[in-house]
Amino acid sequence: MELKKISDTVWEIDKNFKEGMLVPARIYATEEIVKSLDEEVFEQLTNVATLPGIQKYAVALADAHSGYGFPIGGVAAMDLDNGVISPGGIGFDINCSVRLIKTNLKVSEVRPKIKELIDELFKEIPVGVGTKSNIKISKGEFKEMMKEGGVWAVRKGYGSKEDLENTELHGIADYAKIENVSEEAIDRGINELGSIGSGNHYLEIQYIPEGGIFDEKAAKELGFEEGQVFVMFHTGSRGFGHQIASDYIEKLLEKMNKYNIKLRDKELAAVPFNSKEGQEYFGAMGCAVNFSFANHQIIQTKTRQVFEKIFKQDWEKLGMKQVFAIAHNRATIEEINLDNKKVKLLVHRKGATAAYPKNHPKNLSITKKANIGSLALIGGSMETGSYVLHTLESKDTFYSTVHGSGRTMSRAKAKKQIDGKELFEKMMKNGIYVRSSSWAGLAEEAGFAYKNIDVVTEAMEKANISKRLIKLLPLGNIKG
Amino acid sequence: MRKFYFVENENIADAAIKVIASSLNELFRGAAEALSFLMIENADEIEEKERVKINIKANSYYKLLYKFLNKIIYYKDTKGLVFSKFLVKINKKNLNAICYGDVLKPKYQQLVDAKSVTMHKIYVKKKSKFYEAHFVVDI
Repeated sequence: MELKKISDTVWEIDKNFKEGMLVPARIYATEEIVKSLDEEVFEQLTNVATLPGIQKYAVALADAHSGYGFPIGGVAAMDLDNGVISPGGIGFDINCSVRLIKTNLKVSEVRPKIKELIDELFKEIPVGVGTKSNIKISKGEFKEMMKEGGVWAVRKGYGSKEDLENTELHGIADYAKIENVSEEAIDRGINELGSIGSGNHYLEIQYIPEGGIFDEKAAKELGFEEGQVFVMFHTGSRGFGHQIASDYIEKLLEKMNKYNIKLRDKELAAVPFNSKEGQEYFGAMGCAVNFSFANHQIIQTKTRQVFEKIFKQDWEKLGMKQVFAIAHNRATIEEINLDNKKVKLLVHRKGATAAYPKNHPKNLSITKKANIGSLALIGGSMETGSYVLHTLESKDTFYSTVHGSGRTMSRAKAKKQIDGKELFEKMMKNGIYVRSSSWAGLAEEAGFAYKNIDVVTEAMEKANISKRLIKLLPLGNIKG
Repeated sequence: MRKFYFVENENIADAAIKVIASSLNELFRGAAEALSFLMIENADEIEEKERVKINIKANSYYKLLYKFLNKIIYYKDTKGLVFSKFLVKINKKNLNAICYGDVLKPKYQQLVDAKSVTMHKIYVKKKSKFYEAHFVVDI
């Protein structure tokens, strides 16, 4: 396979590489990262390039790693009239998102209480295999939530209207269609609102270290300073979204012949976006997006309550405002300037963050006020820290940037290299207190199993897509 | 003896599983056991306190496997059930299974939460002397 260098941060695989490719594949990363990518990423990315209606390029970003069907860290933009929608290009965890809450607490105030805080968060917010929420709602209420997402949650007392101002879509996917969702999906979701799950999902207490501010002006506008404590969490639509994805992948596979679509991988199951089946999936996906928004509002509320209990002050007094909430697993209609013509495209992002430059109409109030592009919340490994980026110029990647550091090692391999208890002790020595429902699960998420997040975010800066704003280091973490 | 293994160098973010068995019934049983061991480290110690019947059909064996394993995940999410023993009977792409297990408890050591079995590189194949299946679980 020939990988053509377009620039220091753009690499291309010609569309003649594989039969059926409709567009070339492009990777936005430095040479160092491109050389380290697992072979399967190229295979999966070039498979994506065969999907009907794909425009310009099948894109992989600097955090790319192999997934199922689409690579994770991948973007594919489809023509609305002649293109497809593919649930596999969105992922099972529909609207998996990261949310950032700031505080006016300093690391020196939080470190002495970190054990208390993390233990209490671990008690209040369910994590792990098959965990149930302590929130009981009726099926009727659940259906309201499916339609209204974060708006429903705020109405029920989970958070404030201000939270929704800085949540993508203002916390509601208005295209959600509850009639397109199976009873099985509802059964799976009804007990899971307000839970985190497992794998790489977590809630973390973090702080800006000395030298952790990369853009002084933007940080000042946003009220960020060294030593300040934040809470970041990463979760999505839980079993509800997973069931919607599995239902529709199975359903759409049966319809492939009807639309004469041939695939290189069953997981790429797709139908025309404008078909009856395509619209049904899009409406069901909207319900999972809304679940994710509600789930985040509940977790955010519980987090604030835990801080109130430990610090004996209202969350408002603790300055626990939501900074931003953004997803990395969703298909979104974007207006994009393609060859000097404005067109609407269905942008599939699987492990890729929506990233709008300054003055883009989709920017939320926080970045409008600070006169910067939209924020991307980049969760790194639990050992090495995270970043907040702001968007520079992202048209070439269909308004997308990275979502994390990206794995370099399989979970099975990581577990063989370190024992969970050994990792726990190592992290304790480094000042990070972690509570996990599983030692083995902890070992799978060890820092060495991931790419270096500094290198990944630097690559996005070199590609002029996103600029580093702040770095956040972990103090404590809860995970499944 | 376990009939499955986790493929180490495949699928970095999720879990790829290969199962080998002498019959289709055993193959599906092995796949279900693999799913239990993916989620619970000591899955063989899960007590047989609860019993669930699964009856499904499909137009191909790989779809039958996909539906069967996703149904097991469904019971984990809706009833909090994990299983240690599976009796599987397949007849003309109709599957009847009885799954024995217990509700999740701290004594069952959690590993990762299976979100869904995917269609990625999923297959059920008859080789000359045995059956083989491969699937990837999103975790």
